[in-house]
Amino acid sequence: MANFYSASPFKRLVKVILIVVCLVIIFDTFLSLFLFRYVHRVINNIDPKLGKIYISQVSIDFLRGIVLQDVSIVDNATPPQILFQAKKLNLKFDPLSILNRELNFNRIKCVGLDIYINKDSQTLKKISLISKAAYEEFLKNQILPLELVFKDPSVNFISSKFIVADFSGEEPGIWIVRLKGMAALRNKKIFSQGSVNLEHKLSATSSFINLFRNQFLSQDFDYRLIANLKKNDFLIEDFDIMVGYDHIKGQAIVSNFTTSKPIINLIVNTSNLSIENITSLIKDFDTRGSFNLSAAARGPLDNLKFIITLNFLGCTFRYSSFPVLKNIVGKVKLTESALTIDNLFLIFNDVGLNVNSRISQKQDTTQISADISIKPSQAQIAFLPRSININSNWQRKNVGLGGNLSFTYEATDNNKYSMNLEEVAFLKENVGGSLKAKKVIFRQIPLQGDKEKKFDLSDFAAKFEPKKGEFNLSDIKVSGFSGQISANIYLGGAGSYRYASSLLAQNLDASQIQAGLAVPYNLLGFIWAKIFSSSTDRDFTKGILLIKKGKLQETALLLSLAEYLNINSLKAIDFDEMQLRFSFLKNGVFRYGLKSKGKDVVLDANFQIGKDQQLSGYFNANINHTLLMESNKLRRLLKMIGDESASVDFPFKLGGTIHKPRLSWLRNDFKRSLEHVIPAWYRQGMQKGIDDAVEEMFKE
Amino acid sequence: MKLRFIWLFSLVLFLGSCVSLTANFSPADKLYFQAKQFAKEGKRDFVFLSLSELIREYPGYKFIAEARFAVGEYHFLSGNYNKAVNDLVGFLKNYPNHKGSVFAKSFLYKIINDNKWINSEEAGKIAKAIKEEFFSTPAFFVFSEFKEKSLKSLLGNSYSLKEYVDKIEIFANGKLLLSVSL
Repeated sequence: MANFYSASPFKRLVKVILIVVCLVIIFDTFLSLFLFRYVHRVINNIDPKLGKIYISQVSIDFLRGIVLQDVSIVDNATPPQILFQAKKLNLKFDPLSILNRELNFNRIKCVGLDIYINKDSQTLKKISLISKAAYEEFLKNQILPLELVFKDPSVNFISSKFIVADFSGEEPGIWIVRLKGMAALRNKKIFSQGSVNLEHKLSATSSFINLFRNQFLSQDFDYRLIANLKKNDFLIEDFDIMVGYDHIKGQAIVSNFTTSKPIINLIVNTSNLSIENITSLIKDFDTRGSFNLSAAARGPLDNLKFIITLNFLGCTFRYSSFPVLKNIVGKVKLTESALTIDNLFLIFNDVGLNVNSRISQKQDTTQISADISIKPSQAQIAFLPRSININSNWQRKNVGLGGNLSFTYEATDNNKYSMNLEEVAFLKENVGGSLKAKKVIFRQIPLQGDKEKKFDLSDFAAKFEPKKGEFNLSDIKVSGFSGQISANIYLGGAGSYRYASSLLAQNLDASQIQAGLAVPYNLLGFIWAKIFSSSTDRDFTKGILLIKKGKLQETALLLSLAEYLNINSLKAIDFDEMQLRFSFLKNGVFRYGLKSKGKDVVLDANFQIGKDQQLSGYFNANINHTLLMESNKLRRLLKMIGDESASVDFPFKLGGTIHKPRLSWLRNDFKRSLEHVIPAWYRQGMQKGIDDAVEEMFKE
Repeated sequence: MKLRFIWLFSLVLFLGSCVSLTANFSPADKLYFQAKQFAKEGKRDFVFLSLSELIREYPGYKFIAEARFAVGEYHFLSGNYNKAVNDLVGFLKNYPNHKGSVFAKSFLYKIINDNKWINSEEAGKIAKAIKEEFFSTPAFFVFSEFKEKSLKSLLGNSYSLKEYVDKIEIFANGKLLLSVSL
């Protein structure tokens, strides 16, 4: 003692420190040894129902607390599944609490924590074993020297994941919830804040909507949460998810959360959310604008009733090579059984669209209906339809889907066209799928005047293959009109929207086609056709029709020729072959080239119909001499001019409009001879008679 | 003596009829004939003044359609295009089937086509409607290449219109005024 007091103050201080350090080390060593045994005892006594626990290393000291390295809990299933794993769990405790025979954990740090929940298995039940009720039960059954206490603890999550595997629904996949932040219990209230990120990994092919949703969720969202525990209820008094400068706010109650069937009651509301703040969407989808979001959910997890309403306020959306969607205004509503699009207006490829749609699921039947009104610009008015309506019912069959599909198309020419596919079978393949229908009914529904016409087709088949930014509908085949029709359609492309299609028709009976036409063309014979369409070409639809062994009868042109020349046989003319080439230009102009060869008449025409139905061009009718001799008038004239040629050309210039045509008989040798023979006063009289006849014919 | 009497009687009858004819001319008739006389003398401005008075004072006069056409024509020829448009549109609204209506439309079309009327939205619609109307009648030209219509206006101008299969030509005093193609 004397030595101690005789030493210098510095030496005395060193000695005190050394003694304290030694005492701390001794205390820590004893505590560590004690706790080490204690922890092992806890681990060994964990209910085997929960599973097996593996820990690679346990280190304990009173400064760092209990540090568990590479912790994992594996269930008892075969093969065993990991329920929980963490790279490091640091449980800090209050060393002084040991004096009260307690071990009070006040700070928990989780590094690399992964919690696996498989919705199919009993995992939820197993997880519930570590809930509060199960923990109390656990304590009752164990005889431990220290009571485990969590008094106002705080938990830090570093690189933590909650992995929920769901293979029970129609869209099997895995949800990964990444969490970084902290949670603390203060005054019986839970405070948590940090950032959260969701990812949905699909096991099957991903749909566009899934892709969009995943892109949206892939962003880290900062959150703040205040919750309360009341018996078995978990009350989220306020949560706030920050999206840039905007907030998604709401409240929720999770009733009976300690049981395997917790009941959720959730309400979410937002003010305007600016899409520019959702960086994940801007990256790939190039979205702009703002929207409102409101959501409500109620019920147990496996039968959750929810409604999410998105109200778009002038958004712009672009994806990959597809044309941009602009000025999106309207509502999209999603419930557990239906997706409803309510009066959504948007501009797609410079075309105004108004969309109403509903996709609903009832038992095993999916119903899809969509009404799309189209508002084309002045330049597109000639070739874009006014509306498209799609209705379908699908049922899951042994292989693929079965159902029916109807498609209505209101065209530009005051007619509606509908296509009903009956007994449809849809088969999903590795990429895309195939569609077959036993019966196809094609209808032409005039909006006014004439009655409805219909075509019955059969054995429809098609394959489709979606790729990123592209869609191929190939090997389309259908039987009808005693012949076969096959086609291919391509949509998509890089840079800008484009499409291409080809159609091949073989041996179609023209009489069967015209029986179904609202305005019959009075054409008989067998048709071969090749039609190509491409959005990149100036003449975006062009084709050739070949009609063999046919008859053209009682068309307005033939009737007027027959009337004028007084040749009855001209009212119906037989031909061996008729060839019609046509092209439809982007500026709304139709171009035609017609050649028809027959025994008595050879027709050769080149004309076009403009966007205001203006008609211009030329046509020549070469009429057999024998046929001309049928007319008394012509017989006399032919004798007068001494024409004995085998046939005579009647060339005409076309003008006016398609409904009010103008024809001018062009001068040729035959006409010159006639003008030479017929006196001027007689010619004037003839012209006057024709003028009166034309006026009478087109009188309204 | 007898012969003298007959001559005298004839003279009395002639003078009497002249007096009664003069007495039957209404003020409107007088203005109308005055306008025609000015037209013969080539005094276009005086024709306009007479016809304007006629329209103002006697709106129910039997030749009022011709007078209104001529007033529109006067403004058109004088380069008062806004007034011409007003007068010609008024004329077409009131007398759509008058034989001058096709020429009134031609004046309007020319004004619009030469960008002399600054009302682009309405002008475009009117020009389109006129063009459609020009080609709204069917025709079958067998021994002539065109159909012809003509008009002599109160201003003394001769107009003719030739309808071909694919174009319309309007001539004023034998000179091509306007050609419209499909």
